[in-house]
Amino acid sequence: MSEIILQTNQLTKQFKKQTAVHQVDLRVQKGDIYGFLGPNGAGKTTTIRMLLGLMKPSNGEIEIFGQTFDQHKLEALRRMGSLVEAPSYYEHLSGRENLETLRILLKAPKSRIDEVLAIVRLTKDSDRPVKQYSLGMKQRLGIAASLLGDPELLILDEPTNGLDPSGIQEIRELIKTMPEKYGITVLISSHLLSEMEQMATRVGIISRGELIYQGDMETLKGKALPQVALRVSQVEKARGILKSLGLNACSEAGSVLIENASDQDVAESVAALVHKQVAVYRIEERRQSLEEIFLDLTKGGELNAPGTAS
Amino acid sequence: MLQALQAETLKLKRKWFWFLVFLGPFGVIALQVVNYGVRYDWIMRTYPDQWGRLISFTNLFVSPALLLGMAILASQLATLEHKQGSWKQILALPVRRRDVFVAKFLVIAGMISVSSFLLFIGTILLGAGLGFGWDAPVLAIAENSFYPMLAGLPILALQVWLSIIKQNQSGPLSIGIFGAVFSMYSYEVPNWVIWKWPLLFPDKDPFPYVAMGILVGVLVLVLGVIDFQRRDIA
Repeated sequence: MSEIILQTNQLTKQFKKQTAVHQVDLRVQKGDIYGFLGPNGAGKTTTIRMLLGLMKPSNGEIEIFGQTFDQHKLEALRRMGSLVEAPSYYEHLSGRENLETLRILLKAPKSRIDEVLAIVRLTKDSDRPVKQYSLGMKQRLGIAASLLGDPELLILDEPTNGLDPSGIQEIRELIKTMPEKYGITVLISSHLLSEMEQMATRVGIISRGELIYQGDMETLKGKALPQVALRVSQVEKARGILKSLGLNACSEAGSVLIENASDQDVAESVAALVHKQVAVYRIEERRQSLEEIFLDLTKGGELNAPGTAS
Repeated sequence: MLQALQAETLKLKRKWFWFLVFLGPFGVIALQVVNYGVRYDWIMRTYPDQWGRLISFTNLFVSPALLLGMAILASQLATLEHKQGSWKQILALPVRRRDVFVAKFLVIAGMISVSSFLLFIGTILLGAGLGFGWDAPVLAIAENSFYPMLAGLPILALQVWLSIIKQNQSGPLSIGIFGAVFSMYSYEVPNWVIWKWPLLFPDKDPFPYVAMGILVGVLVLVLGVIDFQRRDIA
């Protein structure tokens, strides 16, 4: 098991009457791209703000780089980079000057500005005022800013929010290279599982303030059970036959579905159906998409749970 | 701390801050130009102490201009961060909240000092221009130019505090503008009202106001820092 770089124990944040984050135990290992998922309003941003010292936890504690965050805040923040929600910038300053105001506070070497500008490919536009930047460029500037201090841990909160598909693609590619190329561990939040699917190695899913799943991306994908759907002439009769074979079958408009069916099961089912004079029109495999798993997991969340996931 | 100050001054680029710094003293002097222009003969006939009269005329307008300047500068400097949600970016850096807060206060205090210096020079030039000669009572003019600022430090600390914690600047600005207007009519109010202090009562000893200003200014600043440290940054 590799080194744990960030962990929270029973992290809780209570706003006046509402509990935004409830006893969350995050575990982020070195070299992870940790996808922190949840519908809007689930507590992602609140958690992240606590990880950055912007908010104080009501309860529980945070450990970063093996030290209690509360007591070693500046030390830990020195080794972290962050981008929280919409990019922050001073629009009257150029991209370079924006980075300079942050560089001074970070005490990073001057040459670092050119390096991070090159990483996010903004070198050419670095002397233009930021108010002329497109949203994608501002977001890239934000990522450049988060890299200024040469961090070991990068915390990105919805970095692709509001970007167009090519912008999303670009940022995704950039983030994917971080662990290998620069040895950076990344914690990235999103409300879109499909987006995480393509870059995260581990995921944590938060819903209504509680962490409801944490584990490898691969394990989560494994939860996507394949179903075999048989379109048949007589659905009810077919279901009865399959049940008698000991299969977990259910019916759905014109088809019967078999859960978790092996090749052998399918072969036997078809043989039995044909034998009993039920016509089989089509056999198709249906894989539950990750989005559906995600929705299942977060079900019962607020009504407008990720509208974009379907 | 030094870094925080440096970062603050960098952000002032291409903004109108320095124009405001100039506008304050310019306005105060310009009003005296009008004052003397309209009734030069009468003033010269009525008040034999030329410089003394110029100083007390000027003094009338220093306090409101100063308080307005403090409120506007504090609000503008805080707005820089509020506007694009920069607080979350700066405060997630390895920097103390105390340093960020105090740096803002110091930058504005520095600007107000520049304004005060311009007022000092402006008063002397105006006097010379009005034919009072160059033997100006430098010390008295310096007192009139710099003491109000020192006596007004509690208000500066308060405006910085309010502007930083309030996303919406209408509250802090209203308080600042009201305070500036109120200060002109505050002769009768009790001595503990801080908006009265920058007026300095030309006839009385200004020193207690200056001393209290510095003392209470530091106190309000400390309270502001403590409050800011405990806040959740949304």
